[in-house]
Amino acid sequence: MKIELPDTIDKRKWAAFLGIAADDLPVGKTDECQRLLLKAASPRGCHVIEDLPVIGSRSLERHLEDCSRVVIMGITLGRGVDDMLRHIQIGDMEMALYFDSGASILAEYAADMYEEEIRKGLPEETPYMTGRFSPGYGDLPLEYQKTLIRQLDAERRLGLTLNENDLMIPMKSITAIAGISDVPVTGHLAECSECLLYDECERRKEGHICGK
Amino acid sequence: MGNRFTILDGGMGTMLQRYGFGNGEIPEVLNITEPEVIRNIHGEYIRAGSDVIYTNTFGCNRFKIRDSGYSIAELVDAAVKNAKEACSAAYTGGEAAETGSDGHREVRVAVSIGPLGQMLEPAGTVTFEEAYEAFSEVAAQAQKSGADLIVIETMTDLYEMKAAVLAAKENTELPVMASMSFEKSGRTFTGCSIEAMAATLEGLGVSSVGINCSLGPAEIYPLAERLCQATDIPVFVKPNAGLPNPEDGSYDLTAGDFSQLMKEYARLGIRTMGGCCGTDPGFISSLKDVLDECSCHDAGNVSDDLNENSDTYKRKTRVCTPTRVVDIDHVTVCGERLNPTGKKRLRQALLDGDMNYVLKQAVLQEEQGAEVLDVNVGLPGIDEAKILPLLVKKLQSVTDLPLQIDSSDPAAIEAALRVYNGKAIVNSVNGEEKSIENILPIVKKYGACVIALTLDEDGIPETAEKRFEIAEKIVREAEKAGIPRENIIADCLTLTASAQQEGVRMTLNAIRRVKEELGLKTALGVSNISFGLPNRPLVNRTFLTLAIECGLDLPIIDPGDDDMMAQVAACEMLNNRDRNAVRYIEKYANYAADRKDVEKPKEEMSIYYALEKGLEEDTAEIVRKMLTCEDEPLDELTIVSDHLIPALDMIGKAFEKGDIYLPQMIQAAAAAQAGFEEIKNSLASKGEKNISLGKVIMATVKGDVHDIGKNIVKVIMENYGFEVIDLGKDVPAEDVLAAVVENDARMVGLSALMTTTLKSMEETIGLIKSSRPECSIMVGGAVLTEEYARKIGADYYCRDAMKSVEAAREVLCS
Repeated sequence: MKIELPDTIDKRKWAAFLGIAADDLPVGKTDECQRLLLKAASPRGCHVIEDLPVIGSRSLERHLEDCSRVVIMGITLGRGVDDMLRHIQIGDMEMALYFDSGASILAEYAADMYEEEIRKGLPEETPYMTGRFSPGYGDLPLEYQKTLIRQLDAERRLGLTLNENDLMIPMKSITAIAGISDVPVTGHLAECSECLLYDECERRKEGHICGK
Repeated sequence: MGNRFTILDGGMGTMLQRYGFGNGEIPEVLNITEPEVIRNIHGEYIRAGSDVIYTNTFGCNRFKIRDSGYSIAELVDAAVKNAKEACSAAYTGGEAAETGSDGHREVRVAVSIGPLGQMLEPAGTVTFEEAYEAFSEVAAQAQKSGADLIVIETMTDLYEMKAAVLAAKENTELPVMASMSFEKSGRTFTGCSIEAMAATLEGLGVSSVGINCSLGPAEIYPLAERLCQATDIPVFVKPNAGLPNPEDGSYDLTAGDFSQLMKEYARLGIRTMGGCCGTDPGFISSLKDVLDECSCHDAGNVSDDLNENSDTYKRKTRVCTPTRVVDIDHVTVCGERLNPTGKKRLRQALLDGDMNYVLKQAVLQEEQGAEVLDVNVGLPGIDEAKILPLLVKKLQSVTDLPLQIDSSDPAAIEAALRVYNGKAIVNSVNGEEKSIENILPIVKKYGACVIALTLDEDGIPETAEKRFEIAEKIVREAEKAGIPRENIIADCLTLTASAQQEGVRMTLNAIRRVKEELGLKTALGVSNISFGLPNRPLVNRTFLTLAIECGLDLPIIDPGDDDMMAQVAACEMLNNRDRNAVRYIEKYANYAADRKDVEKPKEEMSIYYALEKGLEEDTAEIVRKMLTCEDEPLDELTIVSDHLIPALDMIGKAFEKGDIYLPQMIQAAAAAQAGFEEIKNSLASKGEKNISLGKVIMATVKGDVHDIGKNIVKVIMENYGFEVIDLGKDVPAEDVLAAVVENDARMVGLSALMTTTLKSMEETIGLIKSSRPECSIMVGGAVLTEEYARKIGADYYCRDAMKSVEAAREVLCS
């Protein structure tokens, strides 16, 4: 399904992504970047409803507590964004940096919009849904992408593929699982202690704790 | 033929599900484990009326069946046998032996080839050559097992399609049907248009071209109409049973609705059709009933031969890439700057392997209005057959302009055409026997356009008459070789007016004649005309205008030359091809204002100020002044070490302190790059080598495609005077080691973004260290840490670009 593009990219999120103040975003370049991005992006999403997965991920299990089934969703901005990013990098690396970060924000936006659409059309017997949970988060390994992409038939339905190392191509894509239930559910954020990146995480060492 | 229509089959996956399969197992394995089921499905389709059945091999390729426990050969062979047995059972099996007027209905077996499931370069990590290999295995086995044809279907990437078509044509003698899946917009997921598909595939010599899957018959109809206008080879369609319901995956059309909609396709002259996802034998039997009733009258005004859609098709001189189709039906500017002849900076870049400079020239020419780019790497010391295809791939990863492959080496032309994605132009063939023999078969095989130079063994003829005769001869030979006339573009050759003044008129007259009498499009390199004369721009643009008036279609010029581009824009407007002067006005609406801007005097400024503000033009200007200063010109090395680098260092410190951020840092680097470009120009013009603090090999490791971080580091390192040899993304460990050895490099930078590709990084480090322990390795990437970097054997962990500069200085400059 096509996902409607926004008129603009959220400037505050954009600046935050780059670690700068919103006022420091150069207007000319980001406007041009936004124009190129909205031209190149063709966001699409698809989803399927499946039984609860059995995969031995503690964080995902807790996220899906009280849920009877799951929605698996895939979202991509499409190949045009990858192509445009390569093109821009040849002439203007600074612009490429704005474009790349802007595209990440747009992908999140598209996922939010698509998630909203799914919420509106949930089956009557399970009208409640948790937030999104993606491979690589908590102790759910990135390799789980393979299963999600297959269940979604994402190659045929979205043109979304994985390479040998389970990287998604086109790059600006998101896959996620959300639990659905007959009682209100919110899901659980993964905790530091169960995170696959526990040892390496710089944010944890700086005192930013996930979950809880 | 009794039945004028050829009926294909319906969905295979749909039927497998109905038989209780398709959840989790690899469908192709069923050819061996459940042969009865597969034969039954084929049998049902044959009884329903299918003249061609597709084998159950859609996903049968080395990427998708790796874990199946069977080989490609075993699976394809079993699949073809199942299909053939189903056919012979149908011939002898009573109810199915429904015969045509000739007493015999022949059902043919097509081996189905679907996408590999992984994206090809440049977006993905599978190379064109790997894709070719993978498809070749399937195609070769298809023929060996006795299939009647090959059908390549549901493709969304034209490049992957090309690899599959070449694999089928080069490994078998079977006819090839080729179909792609489009969205309502008429583009595939990867952006390929219907017209680009048609131009490319008919050139490659497929037997028929089609559209399948993704949409229902109603939605595909307008797309099929476009396809019929874009080609004169037979067209086929295999739509889904309507659109899917996202909740349960069911399709919205009944067999009756489906076949009523399919009947409409007959009006387009389409004679071959079937169904894709959601269609079953009921759909096919209904389709057959409807088409049997379809009289010649209903089928529209079409001839009886197989070129059914020839009525709607209009011949065009068309070149393309997947996302851009260029019809040479107007003055089409071909950018000439990717040709090292007479261009010292480009020559140096090619010899140094500095692809980035070359790619920048391509992107710039695109921005300046070129619609086609000429590509030439002919230089002593360059292996054209190796470099030209490499450059074609790189160019196509950053620009979607069609390319003109410019070489006199047939091997280089073929290698470049092979990896080119779309329909290209070959520059060139001429009237010499040897040229005709060597070049035309390649042009035919890859379906390219070709520039025909009107010269032969005796050189360039003086008269227009002789040049016309050579053009005529080339057309004759080309048509004999199967190259249609619209793919030939005559170049009547520009001579220098100062040396052969009477020759100018000869060129112009020859253009007029080949255009009017042979119906050819024409190309011309223009700027030679003024060589040796004062005020060359005036002569060039006047000659261009005269040539356009005589019928020049493809001027090969520098699109950065505003005068020439202005002349083209004005001619297009005056000739009423730029309707309502839209493009002319867009280009010149602010003409007066622009000129004022240029004339604004510039104040003196420091290099630091120019860098900090990211002023590229000004930085270049300051460096130029330093180089040419009348009182005391500075040499290149002094400018770099005493001016550019100290200024960059100050910026770097501000970045470290957090006073400026990455975007400004990159801005400064871009400005510095403009300064360095002046230094490189100056050195190249003296034939001297570039200034380098040492070589650094950089790569994003195997399996990883996220390379923006590495590219940022590269730009900044280069501006600190390091010579960066950029191996790109998804680089195998062996290639990194080979580059280290070849360049005797003491420093390597590796990047990886994801946890899954850190393994590749570790392997790469291990390989380098095992044979070059003295080589230092720095690493960077989002999930890396100092600790982890040490653990996998790296010498430096660089959390940002400035850290990389520091590491490289420590290794190479102390």
